[in-house]
Amino acid sequence: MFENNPLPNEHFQAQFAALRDQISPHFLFNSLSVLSSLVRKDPDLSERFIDHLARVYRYLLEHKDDERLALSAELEFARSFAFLLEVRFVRKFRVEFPASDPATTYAVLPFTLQLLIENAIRHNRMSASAPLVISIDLEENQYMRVSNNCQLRTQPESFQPGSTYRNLAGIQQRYAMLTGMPVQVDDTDEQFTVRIPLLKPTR
Amino acid sequence: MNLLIIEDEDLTADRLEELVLQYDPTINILAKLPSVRETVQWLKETRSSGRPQPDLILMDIHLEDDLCFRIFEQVDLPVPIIFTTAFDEYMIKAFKVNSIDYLLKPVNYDSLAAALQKYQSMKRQFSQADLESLREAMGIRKVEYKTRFLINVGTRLRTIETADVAYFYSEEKITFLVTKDNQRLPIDYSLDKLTPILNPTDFFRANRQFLLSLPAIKNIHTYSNSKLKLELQPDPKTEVFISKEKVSSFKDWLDA
Repeated sequence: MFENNPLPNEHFQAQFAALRDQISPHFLFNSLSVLSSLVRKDPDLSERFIDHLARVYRYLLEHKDDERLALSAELEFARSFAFLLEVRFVRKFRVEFPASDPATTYAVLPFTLQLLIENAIRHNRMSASAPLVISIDLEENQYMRVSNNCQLRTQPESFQPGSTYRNLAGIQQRYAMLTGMPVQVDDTDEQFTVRIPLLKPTR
Repeated sequence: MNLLIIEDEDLTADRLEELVLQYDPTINILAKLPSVRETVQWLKETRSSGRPQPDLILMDIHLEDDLCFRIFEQVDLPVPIIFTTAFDEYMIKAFKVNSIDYLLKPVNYDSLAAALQKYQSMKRQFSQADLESLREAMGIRKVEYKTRFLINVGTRLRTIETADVAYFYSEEKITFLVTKDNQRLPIDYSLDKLTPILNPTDFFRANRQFLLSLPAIKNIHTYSNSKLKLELQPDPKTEVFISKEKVSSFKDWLDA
């Protein structure tokens, strides 16, 4: 309905930034909590944890104003992000990454994977007997598929700082500014899948 | 002192345990539980089998399967609580339940020690035996179970004391109350609604259809496939079984 009278790009940019920023303080304190336990128990793992934590925050700082970024950089960031979560939710959570980077160079909106991973965690139960598994796959038709098994939490929407749909709407709107290919969401009983169109890298 | 830790991140749970024992090595950690479901199950099982109950709970807000507040919807939990969380958006809600303090993660020794001291000084202000008044002072609701039922019989209203009820059963989506002297009266509660509001020492949910009081059980027979078959008085004119899964909690209840 905004086709002839689009909202300014800055509007969506600001909205996306707000989504991104609401995540980091919570994530930082939880990570520090894990670290305070890990530091004496497993110094080696603590060292790797600190390394990945630093990478995550460096990426957040360096790319917060970027409009698009190489997919390989976003994947590397997501690997660090996932590492931190896998230590924190040991045995209950994992992210499966594509075996190799795509041959073609693509770009994505920075933090796309972070938002999708956080979404999956916020909305699903996880336990050692029923882990939450997120898989990231690169499709041949210029799409990246991010899916997770559905084990929805029961809490009402009002308890939540942001809903899936708000986050997804933010992602969809931002991608709509950058490409004609839509972000696709497929929500079945077993699987929640978001397909992200891969962008042309910046010239 | 018996303490229960409810926390979904194993590493943080271990860390809390360490800090608690550093504060006082005689504190007995009853269990570390990661989810609403497991906490409710643990509380029900330990209560029905008379195992030690927590004097104090350390509780994370975000658990594996839900927010911790869901626990209070499913069991009465008249126990003081110290909440822990990484951020403070639920603080107000936490103070509405029995909270004595609220710790931000990462939890450090000083803030945990201060919270445990706060608990102990609140406890000391009352005589050790006077737990009820301690609970009142902490704003904790006393466990109150339903004592009587108001029933419409035609145009008359009557009350039936819970103590006069032999059992409740449901039939074609209607719940009936059966008194010890064999009056059968329809009531507006489903069995699922009744179960939590009746004293669990007095009533047992035998199966989907029956909620029984102890005196209603006339005889218990072992039956095939590890089931138990009950004879009730007054006679319900239908067969009443305790399923294989419920046999052990039923025995615990009988032995309470």
